Parts: sequence; structure tokens; C-alpha cells
Amino acid sequence: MSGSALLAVDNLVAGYEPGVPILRGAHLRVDAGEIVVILGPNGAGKSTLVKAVAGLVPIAAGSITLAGRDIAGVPAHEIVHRGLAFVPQTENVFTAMTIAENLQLSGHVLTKAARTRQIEAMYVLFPDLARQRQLAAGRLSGGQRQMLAIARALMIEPKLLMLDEPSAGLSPKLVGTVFAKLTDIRGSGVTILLVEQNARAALAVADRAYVLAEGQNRHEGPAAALGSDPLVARLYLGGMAAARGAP
Amino acid sequence: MTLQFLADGLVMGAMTGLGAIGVTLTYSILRFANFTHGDLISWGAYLTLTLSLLIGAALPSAGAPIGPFSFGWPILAAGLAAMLLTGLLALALDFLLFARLRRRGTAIIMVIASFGASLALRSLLEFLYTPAPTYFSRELQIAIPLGAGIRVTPDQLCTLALTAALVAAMHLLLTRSHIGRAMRAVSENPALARVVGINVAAVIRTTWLIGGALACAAGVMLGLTVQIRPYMGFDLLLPLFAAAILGGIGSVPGAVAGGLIVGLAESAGVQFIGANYRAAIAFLLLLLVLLLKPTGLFGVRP
Repeated sequence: MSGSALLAVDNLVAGYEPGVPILRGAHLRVDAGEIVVILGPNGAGKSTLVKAVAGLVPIAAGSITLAGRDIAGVPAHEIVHRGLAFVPQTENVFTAMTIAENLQLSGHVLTKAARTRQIEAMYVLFPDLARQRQLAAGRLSGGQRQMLAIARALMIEPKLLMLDEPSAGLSPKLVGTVFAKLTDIRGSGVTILLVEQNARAALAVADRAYVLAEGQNRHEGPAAALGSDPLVARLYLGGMAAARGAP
Repeated sequence: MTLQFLADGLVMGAMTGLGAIGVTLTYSILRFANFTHGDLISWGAYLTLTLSLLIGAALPSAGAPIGPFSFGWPILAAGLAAMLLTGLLALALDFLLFARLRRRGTAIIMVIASFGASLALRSLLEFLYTPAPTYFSRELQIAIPLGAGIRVTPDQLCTLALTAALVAAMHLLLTRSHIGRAMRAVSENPALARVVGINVAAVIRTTWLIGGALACAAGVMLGLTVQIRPYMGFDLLLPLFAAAILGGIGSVPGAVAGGLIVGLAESAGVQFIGANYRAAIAFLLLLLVLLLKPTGLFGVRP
């Protein structure tokens, strides 16, 4: 077993319906300080993998350890207290609440002083949010909403930040902004694991990458090597059409 | 023409609004229309009555009315204790019935189950206390003239003031406290609530406690200003749902505004159309809202 890994997933079998596994023996290892990306065709089980780690998908078999402690089967709301923050792909902010309330709510795991300090830190990291603290999150643009979702997740001062397709639905310029922020966040000591469809953008900032297909690991390696591997690119990084053409 | 219907409608509307807060909270957080809410109102009134009689028997000297009101300290103390008990009754119902169905059932199964539980709760009250109406106090009240032909009793004024205080407290709870924000979070998006570390089961328990306590408060006020009957809450169910939906499901200020509108409309209906049509007014309002603005006045979700 991987002793020093921040997150280690071994032989994970999980799915929403009993007896219908979407993940069929997936492996994953994230070391402290890394940015790791999970790539793969649609339906490969990428989202299911991060949701299972977050405690949102029932686990049939396998193990998940965070900083050496077993978190498989721990309820989602308790996993948050172990330092794991998750940004879902959609509906990832409370639209009826203001920006300030979204941050307050997520920061409840901290003491009052730490919470106030962390909220101010988030306003420094995301100046766009600081300008409209009392605005309902539902009135933010797509890009601002994604920033609030990330800030909301960072409120718990996580060891590991997991994001499910943070670039989904954003313009190419905003995708660049989001990934630049992720690099900044890693710089402040937060380890990052993300699922992405936009392989090119993700591999540009990631240290390592996993390619998932049909619920199992297919390839893994340093991001640079994986990005320049023509076979991997043709089979898994070109989207649905390439995946269907795979033997 | 007399403007008395305005005062009567306001008092009735305040109690309807108070009851509708519980309906709107359980509807938005637990995602089903809870038909037992009316019976929690009746149970709250009967629990208060029973406790106040016990206090009266133990401390005969404490029963004198306070100032101009028809009730004394025993009813106030009993009402507070009964709020807790009614909250616990709602929690027990959830534990015995709704929690089990929530794990595997759909909303319609929960609604039908609540219909059955409502019948059982109501019949139990008839069995324990007989169907005959009863009263907290037989003291006569002298109505205070407010001008323009409007007269209100001190009890009615007290009801309005208590409602305002409870609504303000609820509003502060939902906007300023963590548990209140957590309740709004579960109401909007239960999956995301778990992701941000909210214990959804704890939020559901809090919702039942608060909903039950407010139902009890509405029942006590209804008992003070009208009468206590096993059907008192069930008969209020349609106005409660009309108020909650009119105000917008999930909105506490909406439920109160909806309650006041329903109460005023009902008493105006009695004044200008006839008492026979009282029950039809809430039904008509409910139909109009659902047809014209299904999200209600302050709601976001249809």
C-alpha cells in the first residue's frame, strides 16, 4: 500500500445501483502538493470516481484512504471534516444565498476567527467576489459562479481539493483563468485532483494524469508524457468518436 | 358596513401564517406535503390544555388571568412546554414513519402516509378528549374599540404580537445562524449541502422540532381566540397550504404574508359573500396561485 500518499484509492468498485458497478476496480494515488488529472471518454466513470471519494456514491468494494485514514463508507458531510473539499460539476453553489452566505456556510467547520480570516483570504484570491458580497449567487455569470464554487470549497482549508470538470461550459479565456487559479491554489499548499474533458488545458497544469475507461485504469503517467503520447491521444483524449473507434 | 372583518381576518391570518411556516419548511426541506401538520396544531392545543390543567391542580393560586387577558401563567408555561412536546411528537412521527419511507419511498408515498397518520392523530384526540369543543378559559373579554367600528379583544392583540415575535425570531434564525443557513441549503440542494459538510439528518430533525413547535403555538392561539376541537387543525389544512403556496414554498416571510392574505380574504368573503363560502375562499386562492404564479409571491421553486 502507498504509505505516504495523501489520497490512495485501491481496487474501487462503486456505482449508484446495487449490482451495477460503474467503477470496476479503479486505482488512484495523489501525493501531497501534486495536481493530478483524471481523463477519459464520456461514461468512463471519472465523475463517479471523485464522487465516490467524496462519499456521494455507495462503495461495493475497495479502499479509499485520505492522509492514511480509511474514508470508504464515511458519510459525505464527515469527510469534509477530514480536509477533503469537492466542487461538483453543476449546481455547485447555493443560488438563493449571497456570496457571503455561501462562504459562511462552508466555513462552519472552522472556528469563528479562522472563518473570518479565511473569508477575507478568499476575497483576496477572488477579487471579483469581494466586489459583490451581498449578491445572490444565482445572479453570477458562469465564470464567477465557478470561482465562488472553488472559493466555497477552499473555505474548509482543505488538504485535498477535488474538482469535477471545472472548465465545463466556460469560454476558452475563462478556462485559462480557472486553471491559472488552480496553479495559484496549489502554490499555497493545497493538493488538487480534477476530472477534465478539456485534456489539453488540464495536462498543461497537471503533474500527473490517469486515463480511465469503462470504470478501470487504462494509462497513467507524467502529464507531459501522456499529452504527447499519440496512441493515448487518439484513443482517449479525442472525445467520444475516438473512444468508439477503440478496439 | 363595518370594518370589523379586517381585524378578524388579520388575527385569523396571523395564526394561519404561523402554521404555514411549518408547512413551508417541511415541504421545502423534506420535499413532501405533510398532512399531519394540521393535527400537530390540534395536538399542541390539547397538550397545552392538559398541562395547564395539571399546573392549575398543583398550584390552585396560580390560575388567575394576567391583566386584561383571559389566561394566566399556567397556560403560558404549559404552552411553552407543549411547544417542545409537539416538536418531539413530530420527531417521533418522523422516526416511526417518515424516515423509513424516505429511505426507499417517493414523495407521493410520504403524502399518503401523512394522510393516514393525520387520521390516526385526529381520531386519537377524539378518543382521549371527546369531539366536543372546549376552551382554555371561560373568562369574558371586553373588546377594545379601535375606531372605525373595529373592536379587538386583548387576547387577539396578544396573538398578533406573539406571531410577530415568532416570525421575527424565525427570520433571524434562518438568515443569521448556522443551522438556519443549513436548513436553507438543504432546501435548495441536499446533495450540495452534504458536500459542504452539513449533516442533513440533523437538519431534518431541527425542521420537525421547529415545525412542531410553531404548529403548537398556532394551536394555542387558535384555542385562545376561537375554541379547541380535535378537528381544529385539520380544518385549517387548506388555508395552511394555500398560504404556504401563495407565499412561495420555502419562504418564511412568504408563508406569513400568504397567511395574512388568506385570513383577510376569508373574512372579507364572510362579510361580502356569506359565511357558507368561507372554506371556498382558500381553495379559490390556491387555484388562482397555481394557475397564475405557481412559484408564489416569494418562492423560487414551483
